[in-house]
Amino acid sequence: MSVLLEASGAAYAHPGGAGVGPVDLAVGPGRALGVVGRSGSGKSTLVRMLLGLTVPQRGEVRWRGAPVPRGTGRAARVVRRELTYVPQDPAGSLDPRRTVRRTLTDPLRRLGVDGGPREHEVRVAEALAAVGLEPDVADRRPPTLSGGQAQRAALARALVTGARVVVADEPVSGLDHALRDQVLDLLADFVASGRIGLVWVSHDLDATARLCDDLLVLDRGAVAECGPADEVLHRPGHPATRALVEARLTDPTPAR
Amino acid sequence: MRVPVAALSRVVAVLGVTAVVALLPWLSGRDAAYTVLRARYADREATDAALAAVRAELGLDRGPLVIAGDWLGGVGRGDLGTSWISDRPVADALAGAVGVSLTLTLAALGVALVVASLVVAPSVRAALAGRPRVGSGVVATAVISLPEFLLATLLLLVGAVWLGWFPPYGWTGLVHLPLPALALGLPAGGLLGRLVATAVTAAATEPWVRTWLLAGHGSAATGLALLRRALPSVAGQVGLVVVGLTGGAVAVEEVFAIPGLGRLTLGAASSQDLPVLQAGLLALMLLAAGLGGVVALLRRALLGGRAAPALPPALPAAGTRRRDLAVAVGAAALLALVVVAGLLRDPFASAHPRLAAPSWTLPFGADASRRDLLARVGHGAVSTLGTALLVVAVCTVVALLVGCLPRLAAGPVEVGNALPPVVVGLVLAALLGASVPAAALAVGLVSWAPLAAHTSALLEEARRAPHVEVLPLLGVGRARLLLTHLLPSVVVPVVRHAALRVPGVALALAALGFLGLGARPPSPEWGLLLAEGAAYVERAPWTVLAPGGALVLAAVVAVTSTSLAPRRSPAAPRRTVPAPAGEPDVRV
Repeated sequence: MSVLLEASGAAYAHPGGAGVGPVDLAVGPGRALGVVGRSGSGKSTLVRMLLGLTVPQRGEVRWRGAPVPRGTGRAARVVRRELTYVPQDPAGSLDPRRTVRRTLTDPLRRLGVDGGPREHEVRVAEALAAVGLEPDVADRRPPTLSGGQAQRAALARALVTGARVVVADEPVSGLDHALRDQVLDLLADFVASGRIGLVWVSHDLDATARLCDDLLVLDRGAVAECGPADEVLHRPGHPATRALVEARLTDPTPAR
Repeated sequence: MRVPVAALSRVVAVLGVTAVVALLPWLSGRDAAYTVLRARYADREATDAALAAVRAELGLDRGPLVIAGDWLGGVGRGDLGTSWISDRPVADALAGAVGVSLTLTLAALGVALVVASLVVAPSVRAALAGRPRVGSGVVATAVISLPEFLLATLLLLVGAVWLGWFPPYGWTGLVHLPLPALALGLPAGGLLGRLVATAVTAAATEPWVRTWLLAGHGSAATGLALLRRALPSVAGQVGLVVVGLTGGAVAVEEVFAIPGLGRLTLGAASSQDLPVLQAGLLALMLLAAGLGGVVALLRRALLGGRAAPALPPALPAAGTRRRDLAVAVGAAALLALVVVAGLLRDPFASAHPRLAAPSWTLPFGADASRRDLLARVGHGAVSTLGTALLVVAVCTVVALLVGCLPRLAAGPVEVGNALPPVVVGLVLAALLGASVPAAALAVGLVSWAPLAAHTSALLEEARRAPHVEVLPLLGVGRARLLLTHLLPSVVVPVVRHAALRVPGVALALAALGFLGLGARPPSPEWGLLLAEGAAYVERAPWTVLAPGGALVLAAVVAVTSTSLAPRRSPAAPRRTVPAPAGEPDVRV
């Protein structure tokens, strides 16, 4: 695996005391890293650091060896083509007033992806096909899409600019089981084919175990455990991990 | 360290208002010297030398810093200066006036509490019966929402002229108190009642209410708890209504010729007696601050210093909506009919018998100058509503710009929200002379504030929408974010809110015209028409009823249209910040 996104000792503490780190991790195409932990364990802060929205107070987050830039300057735009994001509630992250085509074309223009309107059009069509959406979806607006279609459209937006690593922040937490499985399979295929690397942030251990090669367990901002997913799950060495695993085994209702 | 922009902005805003008051004599420039010359030495000619002498005598030639410093220092020592007109110490006149105004305000607060309780009671009862619904009938609401100057005139007509139960003018005993207290207290009570009733209805949808009732807590205990739950969240608006009493008092005191603070200040503004005006404004603002402080203390007592927990969104008034619409459309249509009929006639020709009674050929009668009242009311609508439209349009643009800088604008927005238009009108009339532009500027200076607050609330909400939060990662810079993603979703609801404020602004303009702070004779402005008619109210009540009726219709349109207020826009399904409905801007 060629490592593209890398954190070394990255840490950030909020004024209130909550925070995360120091965290070490490395992700590249073909690999999926799961970040699990209960609510408030620092997952969201870690995501913000990985994406360059929050600058680590200590340590560093690097993309292709250089610190992830902030803002929307030229350097940042180049990085944001390849390092993309699928937010919590991906369907809600689509502007309800814009067509799917516009939603997908905008990042191509804003991030300065090579090519004119015609090339961009081709990229949009490819991205939609890659996530299994019919071409006619491009001219519809999010309120007219089904939940599954909207999820796929948000994923297509993350892929359209030529993503190499996708950071996904609990993107299936609001889905029913069937839809969740579809999205997971889709992502698993993309990772397995070596097209993207994935940072998968979740409190849903089931989904994470299916998808990820490596696991990083956060507990109250600190890294509780880190290693290959199988090992961490079957021989949990930290109380926080054990609690998560046991919750999965004893909880008769599947995670939402 | 984070700069406390909002706090600084508040300090600057308060200092700014104080500075304007302290600098009034300097700001008024040459005009004031001319007025004083006319008042004191009517025989002298207004030569440059004479004016310069007056300026030197008044100390107007000493530069702004000295003038402001002197005045502020004097206030610190309890010396408010000497009246330019009467040459007597300002403090003496002020002391008596403040006493009168305090009595009137307290009586009005009493009336307001009774009225508010009457409005809130049905909502509490409905909530306890498990069917929370929004307040009382729209017609009743509109009637108690008439602006003070209009209500005062109508009460004078009914209570003093027709029934003869109360003396029409003066302030010599308790018998003088009921009419002004009603005129001031009814609108405030109606507004307070509507605010609280809406909050109670919203609170009643919370699950604990049902639990309490099922668990056998008495209605009284649950009702009290509902009020306790609802009141803190509207305390800010309640404070504004109570502070607004100071503005309303100016009009009421003028109508009933009560020698209070408002009338003193109004007289000083008309005659450009700036030391009296300064002291009056200071006392009005201190009174307003005191009233606001009492409300803030009550809120603290209710909450113990915590922030008010948010209420669930208010229920749409489903049952009354259709009737509201009918009343609003009906009133607007009737008003339109009067305006069109009036526009076809000549408002300036003195062609009819003096004070002619209404007849088929002269439906509204004639005024003391033998002019057709229907024509004057019709033409007055155009100037009053036209000016209101212009004011609202400018305010909307300003609000959209200022709303983008919520922390920087915090102070001016709060001051603008709290200042009654009449008080601003007093200052501007003293500075610029009474005119339509001065009145429009005065109303505009306070009308942008609620729109700006609405804009920044909507922007704040739009920023938190998931589809906006993700944009920086998609390469959308800050300027583009604001211009192409945030503003478009904000403009439509703010413009709709602004449109609903047009009738309210028109009433505020009419109030200034009524007080002689706006349009000048012979222009047919509604407030001015009402003031002109008031002198003949005993002999020819139609001179008051014609413009008064038009103003009542405008008030009905104002109230009903705001209660129709926020409809969900289909393009923005997530919108949850409504226009502050139920607060027609008819306080003056």
